[in-house]
This record gives sequence, C-alpha cells and structure tokens, in this order.
Amino acid sequence: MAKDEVLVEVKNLFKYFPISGGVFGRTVANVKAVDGVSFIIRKGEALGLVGESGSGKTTVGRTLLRLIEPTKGKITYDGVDITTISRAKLRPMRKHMQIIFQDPFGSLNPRMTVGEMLGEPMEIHGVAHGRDKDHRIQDLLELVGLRGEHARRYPHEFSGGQRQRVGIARALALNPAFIVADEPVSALDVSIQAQIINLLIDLQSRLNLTFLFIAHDLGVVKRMCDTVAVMYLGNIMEHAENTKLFGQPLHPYTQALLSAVPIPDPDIKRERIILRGDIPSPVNPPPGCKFHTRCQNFISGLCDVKIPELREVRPLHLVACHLV
Amino acid sequence: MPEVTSIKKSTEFDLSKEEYSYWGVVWNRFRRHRMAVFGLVILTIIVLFSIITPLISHYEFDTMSLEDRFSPPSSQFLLGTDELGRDVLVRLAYGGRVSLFVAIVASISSLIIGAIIGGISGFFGGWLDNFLMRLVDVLLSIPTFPLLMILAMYFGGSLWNIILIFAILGWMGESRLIRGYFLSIKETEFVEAAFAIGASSRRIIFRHIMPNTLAVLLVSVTLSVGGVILFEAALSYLGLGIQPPTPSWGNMLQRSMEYILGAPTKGGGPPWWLTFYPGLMIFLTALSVNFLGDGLRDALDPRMKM
Amino acid sequence: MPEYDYLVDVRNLKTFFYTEDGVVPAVDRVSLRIKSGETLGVVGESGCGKSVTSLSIMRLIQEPPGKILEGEIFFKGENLLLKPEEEMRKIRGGDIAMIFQEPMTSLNPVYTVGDQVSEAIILHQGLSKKDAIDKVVQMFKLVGISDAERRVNSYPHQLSGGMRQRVMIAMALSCSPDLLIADEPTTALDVTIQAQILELMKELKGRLGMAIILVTHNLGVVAEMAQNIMVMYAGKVVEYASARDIFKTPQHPYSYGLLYSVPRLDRGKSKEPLLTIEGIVPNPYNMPPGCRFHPRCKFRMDICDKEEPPLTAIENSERSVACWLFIRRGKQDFLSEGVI
Repeated sequence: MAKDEVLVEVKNLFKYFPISGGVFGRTVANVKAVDGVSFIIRKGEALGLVGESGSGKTTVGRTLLRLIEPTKGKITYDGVDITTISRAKLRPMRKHMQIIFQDPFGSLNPRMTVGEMLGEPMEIHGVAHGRDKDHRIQDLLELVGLRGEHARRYPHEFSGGQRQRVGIARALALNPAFIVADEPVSALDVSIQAQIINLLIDLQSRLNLTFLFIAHDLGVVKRMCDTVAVMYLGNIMEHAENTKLFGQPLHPYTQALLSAVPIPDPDIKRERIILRGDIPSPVNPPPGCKFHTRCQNFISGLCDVKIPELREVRPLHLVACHLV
Repeated sequence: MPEVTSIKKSTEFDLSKEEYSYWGVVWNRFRRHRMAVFGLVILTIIVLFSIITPLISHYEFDTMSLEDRFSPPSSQFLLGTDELGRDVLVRLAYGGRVSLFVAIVASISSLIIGAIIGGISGFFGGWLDNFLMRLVDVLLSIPTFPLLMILAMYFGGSLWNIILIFAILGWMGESRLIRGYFLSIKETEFVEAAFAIGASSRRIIFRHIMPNTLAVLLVSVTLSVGGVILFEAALSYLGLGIQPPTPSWGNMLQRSMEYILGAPTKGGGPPWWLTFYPGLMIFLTALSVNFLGDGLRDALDPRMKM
Repeated sequence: MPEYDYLVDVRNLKTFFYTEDGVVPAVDRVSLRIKSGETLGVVGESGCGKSVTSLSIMRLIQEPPGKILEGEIFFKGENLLLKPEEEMRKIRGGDIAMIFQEPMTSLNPVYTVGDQVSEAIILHQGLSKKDAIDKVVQMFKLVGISDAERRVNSYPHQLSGGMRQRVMIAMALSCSPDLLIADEPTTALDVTIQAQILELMKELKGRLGMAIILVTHNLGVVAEMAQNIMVMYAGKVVEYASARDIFKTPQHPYSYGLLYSVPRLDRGKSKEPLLTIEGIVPNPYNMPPGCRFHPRCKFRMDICDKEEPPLTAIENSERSVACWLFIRRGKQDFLSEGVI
C-alpha cells in the first residue's frame, strides 16, 4: 500500500443550516457552518482539524460521514463518491468509516449493555454471530483496555474515561479504516485524557487507522496528528504538516491561536498576539477574508473584498492569506 | 507490543461488585420515596381486595335480599347493603374490578395511540409532524367532558364503549409528550452513533429511542389511570358511564345520591355507607396512583444520573 | 500598616456534604494563605474540592447538605466563620468578589447588564441610580467593553461569551474588592478569547492591586497568572508551593503526573505514550484510607494505605508536601529518575 494513497477527499464542501422564521417558517438566514472546504486525508494519516467555536470543524466531521447531509460539494472515500449515493448504498460503506464522540455520557445508550452496544454493528452488517460475536466483543474490550466481563455492564456503571473506551470499542467493532474523532478527550479530566490519548495513538499504529481528529486543544493535536488544518468561520485558513504548522505558522490567525495557548511553564515568556474582538457570527460572516476583522496585518481594499484562496505557498503547506 | 500490555495491565478498573441492572437501580431509588411506596401498598391492597373478595364472599354482586335493604354495616354485611339489599362489600370489589379495568385498559390504549402518533411526528418531522400536531391542537381545543357525554349517550355505556371513548379522547397529551422525547433523544450522540453504524430507522426507533422513553410512558400511564378513574366516576355520576347492574365505583356513588337525604334504613338516618365507601375507594385509588406516579418519575430518571 | 500578615488565612478548613448516599469529605483540613495583591492558583481535577474551598471562603455552601465543620477563615484578620450572615452579605461582592465559569448562568436574562452591575454598586456603595450607571460605564470601559454607553442597555443573551465574562469581571471589580475569587473563569471560552480575559485580569490586578484566588484545572493558565500554587486531590492539599517550584521540581507524585501527562504545545509529536496517572479519581463516598492518592500512585509504599501523610513544610520556604515518600527521602527529582 502506497503511503501517500488518498483515502478521503473533500472538494468544495458547503453546509448551510437554514434559520427559519416568520409565520410560514420561511428561511430567513443561513448559518454558514462550512463554507467551501477542501482537503485530502492520506491512508494511515491523522489529520487534526482545529478551530474555535463556530469554526465548523464538527460539522465537517459529521458531513464526511453523512450524518449531516452536505449542502453542496463532493466527498470521496477510497475513490467512491459518497456525497449523493442513497442511504441503502451508503450502509455497507459505514463499515469502513466510524466516529468517536466527545461526550462519554451522551454517546452511549443508557439502556443497552456494553456487550449489546458492541454487538449491534456486527449484527447489522452480518459480520459475526453467536459465540463468534461474543469472542469479538471480548477482544474489543481488551483492545481498548477494558475487561471481557464488562460486556454485561450498563454505561452508568463506568467512569467517564471508561465510557470513552467503550465508545472507542464501538467505533472499532467493524474494523473501520477511517475514524472521525470529535473532541474525544475534551470532556475528560486531565489525568484521564492522557490515558485515552495513549490508547488512540497505540490503536492508530496497530490497526493502521486513518484519523480525522477534531479538537480545540492544540497540545493534543500536536501530540497526535501528522498534518493539521486550522479552520475559522467555515474555512480552512492553513493546512500543513505538524512540524511546519506548529513550527512556522504562516497564517496570522494560526499565529495568534498558537500564541494564545498558555504553556505550563512560568519561565517561558512569549510574545503574545492578542486578537481584538470576538469571533464573528457564522450567520453573517465578514466579506473577503473572514479573519480580516481581527487581523493585525489587514489591508483595506484587499482583505475585506477578495476571498483569499487556499494555496500551496511552500511544498505541502497551504495558506489562505493574501499577504503570505 | 510493549505499550499495549502496559496499557492493559495498568488500567485496573474496579467496578462495584454488584451488577445493578437498570431496574435494580430504579427500585432502589423508588424505595426511598416514602409516599410512592405508600401509594404502591394502598394500590396493591385495593387490587387484591377487588380480585379476592368476590371469590371468598357468600354473596354475588347481584344477590338481592329485599328484607335486608339499607342495612348498616354489621357482622353479616360488613359494609352494609344497598337499596336492593345487595352486599356493598362485594359490589365495591366488583366495582373496583370494573373501574380499574376500564382505567388501565383505556390508559394503555390511549398511550399506545399517543406513542405511535407522537413517535412518528418526532422521528420523521417535516410536514407529517406539522399535520399531526395541528390535528392534536384541534382535538385538544374541543372541550373533553361535553364530548365524552355526547359520545357516551350516543354509543351507550357498555364497558368496551367507555374504554373506547377514553382511548380516543385521551392520547393527545401523551402524543405531545412522546414527540418531545423523540425529538430530544433523536439529537443525542448515541442515536447519531446508531446512524453511523448503519442502523435502520426501525432499529433506531425500537432499539434506541423507545426504551429510553419507557420511563416517561410508565409515569404517564400511571398518572392517567388516576385521571380515568375520576372521569369515569364523573360520567357514571351523570348516569352515562358503566350501566347497572354492572357495578362501578362511579355508578354506585350515583345510585347512592338518591338516598342521601333519607331512606328507610334499619337504624334510621341516611345510608351514609352507600356514599362513603365508593367515594373512599375513588379517593384512595386516585391518590395512591398519583403518589406512585410521582415516585416513578423520580426513580425513572431517563438520564440515569447516578 | 494593617494588623494582619495575610489578607486571607484559612486554617484547617473542613467542609463535608451529607447526602442520602453518604458523607462526602469535599474539603478536608485545607489551609491556605494569601498576601495582599498575590495570586494563588488552586489546581486539581473535578471533585478535588477546589470549588468547594472557594465557596466556603465566601460562605456560600448550601446547608444542608453541606456544612463547614471545622477551621477558621481569617480575612483581614477577622474570622469570617464567626460573622453573622448580614455582615457576610456586605463582604460578598464588596471586599470579596467572585466570578464563575459560565457567565450566562450567573447573569439574570430578564435584566440589562447595566441594571445588574449597578445593583451591586448601589447596594455596596450607596450611590444613586444615575451615579451607579455612570460608574458601570466607567467599569465597562475599564474591562475593555467597546461602546460601553450602549452596552449597559444590552441583555445578557445579546453579548458573546467573552463579553459576558467581561461584564462579570466589571461587576466583581465595581466595588474594588481586596480579594477576587475566580472559579474557572476562562474554561468556557475559546482560546483566543481566553487570552484576552487573562490579559485583562493581569492588567487589572496590576492596576487595582487585589489578591486573586484562581481556581482552574488548566495548568497553563495558572503558570501564567499565579505566584503560588495549591494542588488539591480528593479534598486534600497534596502540595503547596511557588509556581516556579511546582512547575520545575514537583515534589508530590500527583503534581508531577498532572504536569507531565498534559500534551503541551512546547513539546512535539511523538509516538511515545504520554505519562499517565493510572486508574480513576476515587469515589467521594468511599475515600481510600491513608493517602487518598495511593491507589493511583506508582511510588506506593506499605505505609501509604495505612496512615495519612501530614502536609509537611520544607524549612525556610513556603513549600509543603503531603507524601510519605517525600517525608522519607526529602527532596525528590522525578524528572531525572524518569519514573512513571
């Protein structure tokens, strides 16, 4: 298998959520959650998608799996265009692409045992039955660091970190190749986060998984991901290899974002870029470059008029900024 | 893989020794709710009384004994007799069977209708939801009691007719409730996870959403039993409910009203036992059902906060 | 010169909760001291008692189920636990102010933010409504709310999360408190907004000179803000030291684990597993005997599950540690040992 074989390709993805109002429920505005996003994920790669609230990173993840229908654009998985195929045709594809959720409490059905939860995908896709299924459930539980006898237990008997392991086991039940991990550690306590991060890193290398890792914690992304894409208000601002993005960020937003993260070392004194103002609303984003309202290098007549394209300014380093 | 063994070995998880099932936890919480336990005990006694009394009594509910008309409670007739000399105790038990049967069957039927309509509305949404909910709005705008009266007069007060009327008129509130739950559960991540593994709509409805509404359904059905018993009493009181000679608590109460001001009782004075005992049964049943419902609501927290 | 050495001097505070399921020793003999103008960072995971400690200082513990069982809370030399409720009410929002994690729930949605902030000013400073509103506008300008004259007439939902937190800070600072208790003030905010708020707090602290108790789970935030740090675990203080000491030479295995299990921006991508603290936070109804951290500790010794380690001070320093290993070995160097 070639290392740079593309597994997931997203082209010009848009997702607008209509806001209806008035007596007749007409659409009065759109939340432009994803506003023209393109990227590729290679086999075995972990792509980190970072951004603040309203950046649309979660929507991108959901849309990739068609848990949310895209407004327009094209999503290709392993060469198959899955953007418009019917639900019936999509179902067998689901074996290959799975999701891990943020909330370890909301993501497990409180009325099903762990065993039932892990067995369900196998039943639906007819991959294992009876004793075979039970064995696989035991194996899955051990794979994520739980014990076989936990299959009989209900979610409420587990702690947050343990539930997250169950969620990971469910995502792995069908041996997927691609996993969207949506903030998988941000709801956990600090000392538990490290356990789950280690587990994910280990699983990725053992099972040769491809990840879309959605997070707002830049430290976690830096630790886990091969490449990183930074989103702001529905667009990708910068997309590069890990060391390049964290080492020489080129987009002013990325620079500000990185400098804003407080580092647990009182001796490190950094020049901090404090962004002015708030993140604008995705209902009515600024024209031109969406970041121009908070950008220090903003040039009137250019940045507020023309939308910058995401271009490759250095090899494998894509930036959407007029000034780079 | 050295890392893996280290992960496996080190994450020692001690879950509590006992495996609490969902219902085990619910029961534990329910037990702490004193009023609810009281309600459950009273209700159980009433049900057992209604079932067992006719089996062991010497009297049938329609055994008349004209010389014993209007007997006050005595060792022969523990709760006295009515205007035809029938044993009030046995009639009370029979009436209990009828009233409870009507209330339970009617509540469950209206719940089923409500769950289906509310479920469809909440799960599929769109124009169907809009249509069904406007229908509910219209039905809820019709004053229920006069409609009940008209239907009861038109169809007549047989047991099954009464049940049918209550079922048809009782589901709207429940359908709204269930719709609300469907809407919110549909948004949860575990339902999203079910979509992600390729589960069909049917599977998501029956396997993932329904079991999580069970708690609400149970509470709703419990509280509605109390309501139907009161409604049935009111209908019967107007002479439109279950028709004599079949006794129900409502029609027993209604018959007694004719004699409340005076009757040729054995000891003289009004035959208070004809009014008091059916009234007491209705009161106790409605009260204990409401206590029970409250306790269930607290015990069956659908989010299972521990 | 005031007649007290420490602005805040909490000694052996013990706050328990009595619930149907049992007793939770949420804060168990916690002591802390803050000089005027100093910032103390209180660090720990959920359920470690950091929030209950700050609520106890404000005497805002719901009773029942909570109860402050023992201890003294000296503020400006006076024991707050002996004050009648009426006097406490004057202190709260006056001398001691508090800001919370979620500014939306701390603001009443049906009043304008100007009304809410001015209410506190009228209450504590006896200004007229008009003067109070003028003061609010001043305060809003101070905390960097643009267009302050117009913003006083906004309702909470019309403001962004960062703006709401600024309003809360304006409200807290409007009566020039000597102590500000900030409970996870930036946890609900985006990182660029968090940077704004931290910058603002630093600047205001320099200008107004109040002391701050900063409660947070984010080690980066305390590293930036605090002079001293108190690390809590399961209701206990496990280590208390200057920020530099904690971050450079943590002495308690838990502090060390906490510091080095966090993926950090100043460290690179690595397939090496992160250092972890194994297991889970103990069940508060059933705390482990001895040292409460012992079931998760890699340096566990025989004594650890039998006797509770006393918080032991290091001579000639502000530092103290509650760990048997530390008591036995003296200063320890986890970093060069490379354990865990």
